[in-house]
Amino acid sequence: MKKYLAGVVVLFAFIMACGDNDEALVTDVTFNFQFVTADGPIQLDEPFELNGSTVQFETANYYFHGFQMGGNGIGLFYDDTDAHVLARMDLTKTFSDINVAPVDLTAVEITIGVEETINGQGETDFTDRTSDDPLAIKDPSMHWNWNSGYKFVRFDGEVDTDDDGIVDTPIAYHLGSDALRTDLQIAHDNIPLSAKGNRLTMVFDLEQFFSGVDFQLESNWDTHTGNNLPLAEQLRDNLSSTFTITQ
Amino acid sequence: MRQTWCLVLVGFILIFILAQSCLFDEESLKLPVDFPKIIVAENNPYSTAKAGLGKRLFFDKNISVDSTVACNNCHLPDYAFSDTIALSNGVNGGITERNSPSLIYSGFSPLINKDGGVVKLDIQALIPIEDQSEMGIHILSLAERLQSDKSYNKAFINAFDREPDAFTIPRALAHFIRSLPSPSSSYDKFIHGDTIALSAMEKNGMHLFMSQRLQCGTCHEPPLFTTFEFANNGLYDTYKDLGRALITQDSKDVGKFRVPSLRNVSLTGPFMHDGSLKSLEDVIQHYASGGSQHINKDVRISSFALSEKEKQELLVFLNTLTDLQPKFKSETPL
Repeated sequence: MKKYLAGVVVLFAFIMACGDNDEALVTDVTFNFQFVTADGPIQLDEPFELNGSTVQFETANYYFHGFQMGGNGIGLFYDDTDAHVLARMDLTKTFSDINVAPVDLTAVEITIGVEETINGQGETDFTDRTSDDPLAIKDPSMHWNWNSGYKFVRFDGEVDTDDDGIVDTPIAYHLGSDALRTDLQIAHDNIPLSAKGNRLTMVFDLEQFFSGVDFQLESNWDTHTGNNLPLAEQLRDNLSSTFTITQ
Repeated sequence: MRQTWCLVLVGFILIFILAQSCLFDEESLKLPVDFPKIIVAENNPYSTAKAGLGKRLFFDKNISVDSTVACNNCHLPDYAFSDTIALSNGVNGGITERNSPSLIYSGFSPLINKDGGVVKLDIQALIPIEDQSEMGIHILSLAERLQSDKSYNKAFINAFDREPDAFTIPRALAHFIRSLPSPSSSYDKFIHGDTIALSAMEKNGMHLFMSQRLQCGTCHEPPLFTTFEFANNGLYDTYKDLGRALITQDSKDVGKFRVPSLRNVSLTGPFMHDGSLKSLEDVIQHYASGGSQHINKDVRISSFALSEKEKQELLVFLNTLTDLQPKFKSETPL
């Protein structure tokens, strides 16, 4: 009888230990998306200073995929490279089923843009996706109707060009096409991930992204990539210093 | 027993009718043997119901933001579904950036638009629908508008088994365009054995067109009178509209545009991507001059001398490419 009792105790302890381990695992990380200048987060439809000009944006969106996370001492511990994320101020993205012991996040890698096959709009295209799909047609649009593919980064707004305090000259920055897809390692301090409630912010620094762009020059008022490739490439190159991740 | 046989017979008849209606859908796209097949996606097979719905949409001004512009504003049936002006007018005083092309033979094109930016006809209609210079309405807003129209809703469910949406609206229009080809020109009759369908002058023009000297036929190759390639025809020294380079971002593609089909060319002026040449005489003059010195100019564009008689022969030949029995004219009832 004692033998059976000991067995039951061992089994119970084993089950409890398993349960403890499950609870201790990092299961998910949720990102929200922020767009900032040195003065702090910007708001859509509200003017702010950028590169010596007053600007405002109605749209500030970007796509990324190829998401990977690396941790202190364990290297790459999570990837969800197929998932496409539409990063917008009003949206969040949760990466789940992570299932590692609490760890310091040391590396985050993403690719700005949409994967080449999907971007090519073959048999399946943006019209053939359900509305909850980040790659389905959105309003404001993240698809190009005249050039089958997605806008990887989209900013639309206005700039004050006559110093009257009114932002009334349209500006539009639409980056896309396979050549502008960009792999990034996002800078951040080591961030401890715990078993519960990992909420991080992916910060998009507009001063870095628009570094070197004089909004008073007409040649800088828009790029739809092909029509103003030098500006599109300048913005693409600026992406490497645009992102940070904070808690 | 007799009742059972009657039921079996009725069953066979129904199956036969159903099979015939499917065949009819396929048959309605049938073209002469020298023609390539019209491109149809597997996830959107052709049907007369879809094409009929597309026709209804094509002529409906309610598919523009302020209900003032229909597709046929810029694609007039009497002009081979092209426009008669260089750049067309859209909503709110908007003006298109390029000349409105003839749609009749668009269903054969592997890439759509003058710069080839759209990979399939099934989604091309999103451009005019959403462009602020054309119809200016977001496709999701248009879908909502059509969903609230009981008649349209029923027609879409009948044709596609789903409501009007971003998938079905452009595809209905695409199928209408696929239904347009009607190769019935004097040239077609001649090629298919009617030796008197072309006059001596027209035949001379045809030989000139295909000659080594002019090489028109190397880009405008029968039976569609296009190879669908992208070429810089030396129209300008500097291109405001970069053409194919807008899509490829390759400087070698600056000033390249898709070679258009010359079927119905007598009806589709003004010509060139921007409608800058008013008449076919102007077009012949442009090619005879050899065009600009643009670095991307196609090697086949070089100056040639043409007598007045030869010019007339070329012109009358181009007139023989006009479909004599077009499927739709402006008076065709909807």
